[in-house]
Amino acid sequence: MKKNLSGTAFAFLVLALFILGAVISCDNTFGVFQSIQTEKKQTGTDVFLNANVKAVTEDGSNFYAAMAKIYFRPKVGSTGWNLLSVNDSTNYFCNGIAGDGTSTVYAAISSSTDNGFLGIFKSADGGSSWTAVTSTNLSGLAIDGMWLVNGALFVAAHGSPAENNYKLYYDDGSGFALAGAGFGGLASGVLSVAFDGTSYWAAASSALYKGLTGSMTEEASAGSPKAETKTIGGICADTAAGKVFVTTADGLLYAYQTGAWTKATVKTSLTLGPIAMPGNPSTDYLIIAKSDAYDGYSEFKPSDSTYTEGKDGILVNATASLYASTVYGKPVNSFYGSKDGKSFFIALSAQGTSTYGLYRTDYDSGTGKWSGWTAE
Amino acid sequence: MKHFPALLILLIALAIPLAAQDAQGTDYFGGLHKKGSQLISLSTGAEIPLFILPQDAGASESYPLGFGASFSLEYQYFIANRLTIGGSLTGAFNTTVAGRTLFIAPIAAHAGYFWGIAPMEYSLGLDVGLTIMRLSGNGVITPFTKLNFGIYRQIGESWSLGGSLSYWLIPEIHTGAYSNLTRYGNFLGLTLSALYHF
Repeated sequence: MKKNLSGTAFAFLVLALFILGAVISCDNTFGVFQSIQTEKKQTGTDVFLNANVKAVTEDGSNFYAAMAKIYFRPKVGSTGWNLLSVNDSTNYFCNGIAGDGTSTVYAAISSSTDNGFLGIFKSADGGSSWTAVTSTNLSGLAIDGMWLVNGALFVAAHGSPAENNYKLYYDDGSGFALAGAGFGGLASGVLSVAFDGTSYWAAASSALYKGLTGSMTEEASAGSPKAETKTIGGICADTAAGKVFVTTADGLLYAYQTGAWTKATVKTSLTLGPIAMPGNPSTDYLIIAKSDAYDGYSEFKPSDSTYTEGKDGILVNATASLYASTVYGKPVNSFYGSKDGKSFFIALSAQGTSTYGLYRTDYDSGTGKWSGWTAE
Repeated sequence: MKHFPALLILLIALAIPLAAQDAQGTDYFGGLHKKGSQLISLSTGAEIPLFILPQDAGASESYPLGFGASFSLEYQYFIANRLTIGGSLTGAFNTTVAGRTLFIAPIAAHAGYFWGIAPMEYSLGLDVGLTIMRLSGNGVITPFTKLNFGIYRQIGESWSLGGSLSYWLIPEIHTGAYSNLTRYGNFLGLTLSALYHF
């Protein structure tokens, strides 16, 4: 009898713990049925299903999406996404892609069989023909990323072994040179590059760099993320205002303008990552990737420190489930705002989600609102 | 889906004459429906979403939930001839149009009424309890009710096999500033079942 009672008590204890755990994980702010009701069926391009989209860019003719290979679709017309041939071959692995939004696109590629670096190629005719860019100093390195900022082409790379061997180069017209004297052996890889109207900025998780190409130096002045020993997540610049924004792994947003740093708390519980400034309907809000149980992004207004969950933000036009059924639960790799300000892309890691890795929202200048996320 | 109430009434109507026959006897389905008997049922089948009320102004799809699957384990004890009480554990999955998965896991108290004449037996049941619902990492616990009608054929001394039709009502209650998220989910369950009497 005693044994039976113990068994019953144990069963009740297990049940109680189960219910307690379930109650703790409940969220009164999330309507399960409401979220389902407002879902919109997303039918994107098969190639982006369960995909990891690293970056998006554009030239005058096409948008380009970088995964293991590059896919493109014309800006005009209804033609879908197609595999891009680089230098007359589709047998490559994409290391990076960068476009100027108007006429030129660059692709850094390596062999899809032995990962050997094949070079950086440039196209000025929408990817129809390519010419090799002189890649001095890049031989033997692994290319991590590429950015075309204010006309300057930057390439992040690392040697082998990678430890304290991350580098940042820029195209000086005759080959690739280090972006600054300190860029020959960084402790961590460069996350992104920005231009504030006067200076270029490069962000690695362990440090920030600032200056002109070839002479960028570490920015560690008082009040900077480096001076306060922060881990950096991302960087973007408001060129018109001469302002730079930097996110950190402990939920802070640093801003640099006219030689001084300020900081604001976005949300202390969040690890912040890539950041962008969509620009419409005003310039005064930022979209910031976050890393937590829900991933995705949040929106933040620096002028009054207003924090908005992505599902309630400007980019989804207040239709919460469009966020929940598109971006929610997926890590953000990068953002891309089109040159004309009408389209904004989010590149995600969607492996194993049965959803897509690339979504777009469009700005309607008539209504002053974004359309909400739609699968590419 | 709109034919469901008529279908349920038809099934019950078909069973009433058989119930009347059995009611005249006193063996209570060979003693299996007598006070003190017990049974365990295992069921698996389809879970069909009917509708969610009230409709959301932002809804764009007529049927945002797809057909799903369910399974359940139920224990019942005859507290009187033909009348049972017990409990049930159920799990059900449905996919949404956006590719997400809704998981519903009710834990409920059960009351049932059995009748029949060998080899056919019938049951009406009511479940009342709580359900855990999970969607994309978010979860809620809400009330849960289920009405169930089952038809089974005895295939052995203790075993019966058959099917059941059930109606699920899941009131997802939110309070305070989020009371506008309150919704009522309605589902139809169609399952194959095995009963073990002991």
